[in-house]
Amino acid sequence: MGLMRQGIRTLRNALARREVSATELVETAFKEIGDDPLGAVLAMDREASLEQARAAQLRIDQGDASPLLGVPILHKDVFVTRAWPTTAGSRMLEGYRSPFDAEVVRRLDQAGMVCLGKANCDEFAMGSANQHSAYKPSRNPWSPTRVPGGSSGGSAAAVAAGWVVAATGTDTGGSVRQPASLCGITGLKPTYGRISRWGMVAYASSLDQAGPMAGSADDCAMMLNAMAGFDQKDATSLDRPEEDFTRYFGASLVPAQKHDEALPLKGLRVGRPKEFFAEGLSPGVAQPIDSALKTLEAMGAVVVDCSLPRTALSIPAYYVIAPAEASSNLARYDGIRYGHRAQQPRDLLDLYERSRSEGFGPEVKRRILVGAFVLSHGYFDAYYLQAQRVRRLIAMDFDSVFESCDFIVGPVSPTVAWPIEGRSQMDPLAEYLADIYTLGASLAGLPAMSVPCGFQIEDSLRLPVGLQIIAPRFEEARLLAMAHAFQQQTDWHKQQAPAQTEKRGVAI
Amino acid sequence: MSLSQDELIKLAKLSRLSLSPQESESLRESISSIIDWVGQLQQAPVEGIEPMAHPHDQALRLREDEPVQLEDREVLMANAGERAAGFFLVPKVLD
Amino acid sequence: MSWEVVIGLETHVQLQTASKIFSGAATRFGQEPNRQAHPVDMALPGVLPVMNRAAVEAAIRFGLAIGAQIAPRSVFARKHYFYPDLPKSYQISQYEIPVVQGGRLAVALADGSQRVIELTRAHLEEDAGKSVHEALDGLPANCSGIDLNRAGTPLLEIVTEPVMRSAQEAVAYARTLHSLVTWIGICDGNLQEGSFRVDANVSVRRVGETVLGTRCEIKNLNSFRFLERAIEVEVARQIELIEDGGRVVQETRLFDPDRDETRSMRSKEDAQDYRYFPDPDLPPLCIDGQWVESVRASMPQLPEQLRDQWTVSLGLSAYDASMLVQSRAHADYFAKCLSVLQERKVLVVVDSELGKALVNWMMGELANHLNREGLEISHSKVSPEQLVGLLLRVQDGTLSNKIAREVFADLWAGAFANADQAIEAKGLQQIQDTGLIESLIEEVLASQPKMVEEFRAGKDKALNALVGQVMKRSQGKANPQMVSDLMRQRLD
Repeated sequence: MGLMRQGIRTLRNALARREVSATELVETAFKEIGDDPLGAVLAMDREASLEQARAAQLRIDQGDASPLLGVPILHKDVFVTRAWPTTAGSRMLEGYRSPFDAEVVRRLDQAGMVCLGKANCDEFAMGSANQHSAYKPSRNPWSPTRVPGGSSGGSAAAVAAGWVVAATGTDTGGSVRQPASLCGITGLKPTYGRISRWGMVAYASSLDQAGPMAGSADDCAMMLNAMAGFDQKDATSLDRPEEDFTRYFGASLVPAQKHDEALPLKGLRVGRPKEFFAEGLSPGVAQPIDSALKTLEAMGAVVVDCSLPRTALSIPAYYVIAPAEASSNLARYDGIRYGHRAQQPRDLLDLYERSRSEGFGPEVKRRILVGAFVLSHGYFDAYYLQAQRVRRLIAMDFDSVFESCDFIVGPVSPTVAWPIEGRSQMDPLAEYLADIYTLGASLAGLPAMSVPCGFQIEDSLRLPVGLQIIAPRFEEARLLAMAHAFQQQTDWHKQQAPAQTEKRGVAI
Repeated sequence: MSLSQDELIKLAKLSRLSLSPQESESLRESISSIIDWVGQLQQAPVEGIEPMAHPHDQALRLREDEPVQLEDREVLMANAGERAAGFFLVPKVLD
Repeated sequence: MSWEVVIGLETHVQLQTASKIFSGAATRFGQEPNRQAHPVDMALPGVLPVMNRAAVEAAIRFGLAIGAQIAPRSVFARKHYFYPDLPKSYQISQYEIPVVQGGRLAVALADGSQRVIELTRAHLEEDAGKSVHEALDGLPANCSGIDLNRAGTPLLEIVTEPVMRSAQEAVAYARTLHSLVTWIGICDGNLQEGSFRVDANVSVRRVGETVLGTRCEIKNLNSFRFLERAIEVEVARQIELIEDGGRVVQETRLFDPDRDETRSMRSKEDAQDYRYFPDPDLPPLCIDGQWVESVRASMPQLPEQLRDQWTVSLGLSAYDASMLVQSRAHADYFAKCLSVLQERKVLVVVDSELGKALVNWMMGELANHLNREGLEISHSKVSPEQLVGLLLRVQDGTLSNKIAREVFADLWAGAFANADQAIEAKGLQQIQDTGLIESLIEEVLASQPKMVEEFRAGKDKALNALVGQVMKRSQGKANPQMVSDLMRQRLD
């Protein structure tokens, strides 16, 4: 069934024309998912999903034209839900049932989307391969012995496999963009504060942002319309006038310039940071990216060289700030009010130490300890404050480039998806280094997308490559329009991963 | 900089984590290399640059002082492993 | 060897807001456990703090009342430690940049002198929950119960410079601070309920020494009596320790009133590294000049201002004036009395009888009635208007003080709407008719020959007894001064 692959509008029309019902979509999706050979899903509840589908169908029958009504979705398991348990990929929250829904969940629920369950992810969103989930690893539909990326690996895999048309993810250092790139789908990290963090299990509060993951910029834009907006329950939520993020589709992206169908990106200056194309970028990725830039030029954009001089420093800056905030945000997990609780503790100290040590996995422990170090007395200035100063430098670098460029483009990941086996014992530091292109936009709070732009061919496998587009803060609408224009011009995003039914039974 | 075993134990205590000897050693190694590596931040040219705790220049938004209705206590406490008489339970706390 | 004591106080003042500092849960005291704990207060996964405007406004009020700087931009920081009554395992507080900076408080000491105590800062933070340790019905043995009702209650932590030099000074400061925060309406001042909690930092040094000694912090003193005693025993402990050749260890201690000693807190053996950093969930708090000015405009006059004003304008003694400003409610009552008089175009001048009478009646008769029924002056059953009306009738001679007290009781009981009605209904006008009084005197002299003899024999007290008899015959309505004068004349 390719209906899930054809995008939200097509699906929505099919629902509207009664070609398919919301409940049928759910049943089909569950059949497709089967026993989840890709390890993409942590929780499913057929009855709960059907209930949502029936409610959506009622609205459809009444002529409700809401654009997301009846469309199936998975929520990354860091968004708390009342109807499904929330684990954040951790044993610490095994079986946890939140008494409230995350704001993202509530808004998409109100828009009529039908939740099929919770998507697998790296534990507490810490990871770049979805191999740090405490439950099961997730796999890439393009090659199930390879990683889907992380931390929103389950979301990316499920969308790429055609099990759902869309999923929510979260991006702290690249966790929406990178799995989108590795799985050949479209993902957006909005401007920090654009989407409410209420109900999103916190990893690094000044960096975390929810984001849509789907088959196209168009789908992402429609989801952003429902997800974005001021929320008084989040003090970092942006209070800006409501906007339609599709409003520049098919329109000129340059103010006071008439739209040219033949050259939809005419007048746009696109920066190509030399630091994104330096040593470390694999040739198999560089080639589709370069082709994509040529395509942008063919569409009328002018690609200019630019520099983000502190790109390399974004890695140490991020890996000081994010662990610092994580060590703080995860301090609440002590087994007292919820979460894993050690059996028969000797005393209070034992309760704390054992509950936490039993509940957290090694990568989480590692980041908590690094965080404790950089915040500790004596090291705070040299590490945490220093990192925050570098952060400001990096933000200034972006501001500088955006004075003469409308967008910044480059790769998302230095490599395509890598084998699960080979790198499962990977040196953590090496894993961190692969975040080099995505961290800057996170630190600066800027909107950025990953858009499929080609493949690296390896052993007759097609492994997706994503083009990263970064925009100035608050410019999601133009960003999505640029991506949309690129997707009108190319069909990389329409490529489908091999059907997973053939892969069932593959030894892990 | 390399983290000593003692320093790791201090950090673990500070974080209420208890580590097995194997965990300890592997974490000590990886954390040492991370801390060593992020030390390059020291070299960055940051004179006159203020730390950036929030990505945007936002001011704190305030809410009105109006009490709200709460969900039932049993619902909010439902995930607690040990509770009795409306309290969360912990091993006896000594002052 | 002379010792100098150095004391600094940190006071945690619970702000009297309707809801908590970061959540919408109510802040009422004494609710069933965990019925006033919002998901934010419980630190459930995914919750976020949102700042209460009223808490900020309370901080601004306090800053203005002590003449401090209100920071145009202040920062919230996370203070990390693990304790079951701290659900996030960090407290949201303020560290490097607090909302209120500097300030001073003028404190009247027992000997009549005044000291100005410098304040370092005041900052906003959240209160923790409570642990219950005694075995309660339903609580298993060897368990403590955690109640998060109090978690998230707004606190203003007020810190002084280490400038107090005795336990008495410290208590005087604490009392003055307590009066002030209740006066400006930011705190209900209820010590038993924990609305006002003082930590004392105490150190000693030899007189002449410029370096500060090692200090100990005595936590959670919630009565002025305990504050004073705790400091005294701690000072004695430190002096004895040093004189014995030991060294004071910097630590946190608790006061044990039963044992009359301070002891080290077991749970705080290791020096805490709180790992403060700016809270990423809360952008900086910005307070503009406009807001400060609008708060300033809505501030009541402060106790010292009123006290000084009344001392000067009415010639009241410092003591009397300070009694009138013991609480906002007292000051409001007195001020209302003055404004009633003004409406009636009665001039109350310096050293006037009326001014003194008002004070005496408020601190005397009115206070007695209030105390007997356990009422606050704001719930007085005799209003300022009624009291003024009554005292005017004393001043114009219509009522003697004694009769006036009876009328007061009638007014308190609600028997009459005002003094004049009582006088009318009970025929209480004071007898000032000389002739009438003289005839009463004749009656008494005739019936009390023994007392007359005693007086003639030199017993002056007999005169009072005779006057008393006349008062009795007149049902207390005769003007006592006139009776006394006429009696004396008659007997001469």
